Amino acid sequence: MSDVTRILSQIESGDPSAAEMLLPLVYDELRKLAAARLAREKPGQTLQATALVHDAYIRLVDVEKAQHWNSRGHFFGAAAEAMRRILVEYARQKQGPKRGGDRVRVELDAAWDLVDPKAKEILAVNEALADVESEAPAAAQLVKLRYFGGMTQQEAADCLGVSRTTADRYWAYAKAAMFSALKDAGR
Amino acid sequence: MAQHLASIDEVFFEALQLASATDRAAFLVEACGENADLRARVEQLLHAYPAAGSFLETPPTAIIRESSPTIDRPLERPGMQIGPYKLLQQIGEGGMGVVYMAEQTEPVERRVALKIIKPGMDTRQVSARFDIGRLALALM
Repeated sequence: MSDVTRILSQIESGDPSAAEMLLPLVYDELRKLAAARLAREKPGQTLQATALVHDAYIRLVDVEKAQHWNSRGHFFGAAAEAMRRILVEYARQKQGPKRGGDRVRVELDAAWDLVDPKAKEILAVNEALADVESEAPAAAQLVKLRYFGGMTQQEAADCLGVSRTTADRYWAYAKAAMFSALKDAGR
Repeated sequence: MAQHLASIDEVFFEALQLASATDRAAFLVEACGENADLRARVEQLLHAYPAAGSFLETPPTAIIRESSPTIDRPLERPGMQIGPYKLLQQIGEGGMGVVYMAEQTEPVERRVALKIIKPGMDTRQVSARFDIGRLALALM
C-alpha cells in the first residue's frame, strides 16, 4: 500500500494525526507534477489546478484499495488546501517582496506566470475566505475545492458529502459574503 | 419554533429564492425574529449577491510564459506581421537580435531591414542604439 493510500485509510478509521501527514505529501507531489509539466509544455499554454490534482490522485492513491472509503473526498480536500498554499505563495511573490524571507519559496516561479490581476484576486479571495471560515466553515471548504482545487460544483459536493442543493446554497452564500467583505475592504 | 437555529447561509439562501421585496421582508421578520444582527447580515448578503456577478467562478490558471529555458526558440518567424511590417526572411543575426527582410505596408510600401531585439535586451540604452540603427537604414 502506498504511503498516501495508508494515510487515507487511517483518516477513514478516525486517526486525527493522519490528516496532517497527508497535506505535505500531496503538496510535494503537486509541485513536482507542476514542474514536470512546465518543462514539457509549450509556452503560452495554461496549467490548471484541476488537471494537476487529478494526476496527483492517480499517482499517489492505490484506487483499487481505496475505493471503499471516502478517499477521493479526503484526498481532494488536502489537494485543494495544497493548491491554495501554492497559489497564495506564488501570488505573494508576484506582488513583490513585501514581507520577510522566512517563507518557503515556490520553485515553480521562473516559468509560471499568473495573469497579473489574478495574483491580486488570489490574495483577496484568500483573505476573505478567513471570514467565511468563521461564519460557515463548510462553505469555506467548498470555495477551497472549487476556486483553488479547480473542481466542479458536483465534484466538490461529492467531496464534501453533501447534496447538490446544499452545495449551491454554500456557494451562493460564500459568493455574497466574500464579495461583500472585499467591497468593504475597498478593493 | 426552531427557526432561530437556522444557520446564516440557510436564511440567506431561502430569502434569495423569493423574488419580491415584500416576500423577502416578511420572510426575514419570521426567520430572524428578534435577532437584528442576523437580519442585518442577511440583508447585506442579499444586497451583495447580485453585484458579485462572476466573482469566484473562474479558478486561477497559470500561464506558462516565455522564459529563459525557451529563449532559444524565437517567437518571430517569416510571414509574421509585426505592426506595419511583414517578415520575409532572416538576413542576419547578432548578439542583440536578428535582422529580417520585411515588407512595410504603411505609410509607404517598401522593403526594409527589421532588427528584432532579443528578449531581455530591451533596455533604454539598447533601444537607443537600435533607434540609431533604424535611422542609418532609412538613410541607405
